[in-house]
Amino acid sequence: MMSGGKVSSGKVSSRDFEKCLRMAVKGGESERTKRPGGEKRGLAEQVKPFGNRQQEIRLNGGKRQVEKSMERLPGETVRMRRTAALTRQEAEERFGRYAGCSGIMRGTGPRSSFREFLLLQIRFIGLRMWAVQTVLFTVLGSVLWILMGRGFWQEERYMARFLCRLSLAAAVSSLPFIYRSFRYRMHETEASSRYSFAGVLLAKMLMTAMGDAVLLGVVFLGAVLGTGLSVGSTFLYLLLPFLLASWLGLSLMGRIPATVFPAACMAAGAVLLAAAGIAGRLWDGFYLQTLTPGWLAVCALITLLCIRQAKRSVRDAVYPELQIA
Amino acid sequence: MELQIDRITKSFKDKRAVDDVSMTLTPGVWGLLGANGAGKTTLMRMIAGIMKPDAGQIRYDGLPIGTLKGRYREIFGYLPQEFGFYPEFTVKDYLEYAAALKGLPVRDTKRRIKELLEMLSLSDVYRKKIVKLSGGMKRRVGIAQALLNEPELLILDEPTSGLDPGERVRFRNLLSEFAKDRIVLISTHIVSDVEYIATRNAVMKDGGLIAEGTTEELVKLVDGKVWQCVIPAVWLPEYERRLRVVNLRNEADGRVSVRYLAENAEAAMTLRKADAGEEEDADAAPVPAAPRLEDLYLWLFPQDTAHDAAGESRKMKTDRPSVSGTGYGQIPAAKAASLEGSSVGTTGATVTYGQTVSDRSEDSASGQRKGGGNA
Repeated sequence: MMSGGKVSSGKVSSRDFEKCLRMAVKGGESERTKRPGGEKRGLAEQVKPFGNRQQEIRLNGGKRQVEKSMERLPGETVRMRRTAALTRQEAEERFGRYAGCSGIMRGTGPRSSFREFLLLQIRFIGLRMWAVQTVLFTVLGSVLWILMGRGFWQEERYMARFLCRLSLAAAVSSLPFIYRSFRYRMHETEASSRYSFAGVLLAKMLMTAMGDAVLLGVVFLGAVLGTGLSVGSTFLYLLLPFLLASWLGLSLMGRIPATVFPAACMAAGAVLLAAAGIAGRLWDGFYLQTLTPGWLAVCALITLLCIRQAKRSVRDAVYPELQIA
Repeated sequence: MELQIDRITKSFKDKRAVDDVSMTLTPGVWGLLGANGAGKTTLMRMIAGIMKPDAGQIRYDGLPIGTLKGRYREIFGYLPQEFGFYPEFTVKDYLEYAAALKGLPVRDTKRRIKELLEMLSLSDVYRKKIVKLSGGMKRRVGIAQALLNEPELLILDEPTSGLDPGERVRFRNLLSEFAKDRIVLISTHIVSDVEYIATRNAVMKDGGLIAEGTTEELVKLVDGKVWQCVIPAVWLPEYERRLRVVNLRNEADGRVSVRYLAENAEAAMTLRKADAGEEEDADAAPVPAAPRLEDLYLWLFPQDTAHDAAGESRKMKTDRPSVSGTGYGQIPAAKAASLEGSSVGTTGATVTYGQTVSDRSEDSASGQRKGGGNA
């Protein structure tokens, strides 16, 4: 890079040049970055604090030293001038690059937090989803009340069967909301947003989880207080089918085209429903279970699988093309 | 401020959508031109960070966008080719939702939305559901969304499709003003949209970048390849069959003014002599015409020329009353305007048939490629 020749005028040596370049490229403290009182000035003044502030201040000083050295070169050889020009160019390029970085690292003004974003999602997505679920389950409960009468709610076996189906329906009805952006082609806009598609997907999942938790909680309380089913059985028949359906739905996410995702969720729910029906016929005690350590372990395992799938979906959703499949 | 696209490649199964593209975007309006399937949208999606390149890197001010993540997304606005919205959303809901996605604080959101609604003439439909708006209005809502966070880097994928001529002109002026100290990248089939406002243009074909430069620089590539002549209408089918006709205009005397692309005048001269026989017509002698960006586009994408020329011919024969024996005749300017829809009036000048055909060749190209169509 450097010529290595000695400068005849003695104003600046190649060693000085190397020093300047080192300072510009790697950084070096400069007297000119500080005012007499120790206060910093120059570009560093304009830059709000960020991770590389010290480096930027050093670069700022380094660049000035290079410029100063350049000014002291009136009588140099052509070769030296060429070297000087190259040095200046490289220093400026590198400096410019870091100075440019500072612009983007400064940010573009205040931004709302993820918590605020999540709260806004309640208004845009949550309310609608919860309203649909509330109407769905109110209608279902009312129809059953009218058709089956009071005796239905006291019969442990029927109640367990009902809770199992209701739990499956809760999971299956909420999952398509998560993937709604693909159906309505909002995913590109959402993906290019500050939180990326992963953040938006996470917000929707949290929204869904909140809604389902409230819904199942209300049903749980109602079942425990108003029916003959035990607390353990109520918990088991609400939680296990819900977890299974959620795990299946989350596993489908990103593995099948988004356009068929709602239908696939419905199909998965139907398969689970059929499986529960068959199990009920083949095994008399299927709807007479309660929450034992064994079942608790199964629930914990499926919960872990759900978390794993959710994490995978969020991770992959950084690039939504992976979700489009 | 600089966006460096460094040897970007992206493949889908066996098709290479973007092939080793490199360019450096600096502040100003950049036009990205290319036929359907040229890789424009894929490139834009990669720049927007919603698609991952198979090879290469995109850097903003020297830093890979993958490492900047949210900070990069904060400084850009993106209008996708397909404008999506939730059906229950009003314009207000949509813009507030977009503002939330961009992380704008609530107090800034209201001010900014108000500014944009006025700027894009959307104040009257603020509380209307988007699903009930016209195509042009929906597009404007999309543009408002992209501008919400006052981006440093604005990426617009076919922003003017569906806009009427007046809206297009307003939008172009808005972009010109906006791009003073920002990078604006517009992908479009409508050449006139970028011809007047683009600082630089890039032309893509089969996933690769085949030309880059200012409009003036690019136009020089077809210097001496654009010709025009006035021929008897009966010669027209032969001209259309053998030459790349880019523009037709019916003259008052029943002849047709033809603008076409040819490597040199020789081919057209040969054709003229063959058709003219013993008769010589001074007007029929081809003369070089001043090239435009549209000519370059059609030179680079010859299949569009042939397709469009055929489409024009068919449309003219269908829509227009036959005056002479050739099936070509005059139509009033107003009728031409109604036929051409959005392509009229970008210059604000009186409509002539030549203008409408010229403009429509752009629109019909995009329309036909999208499967919609004027043909």
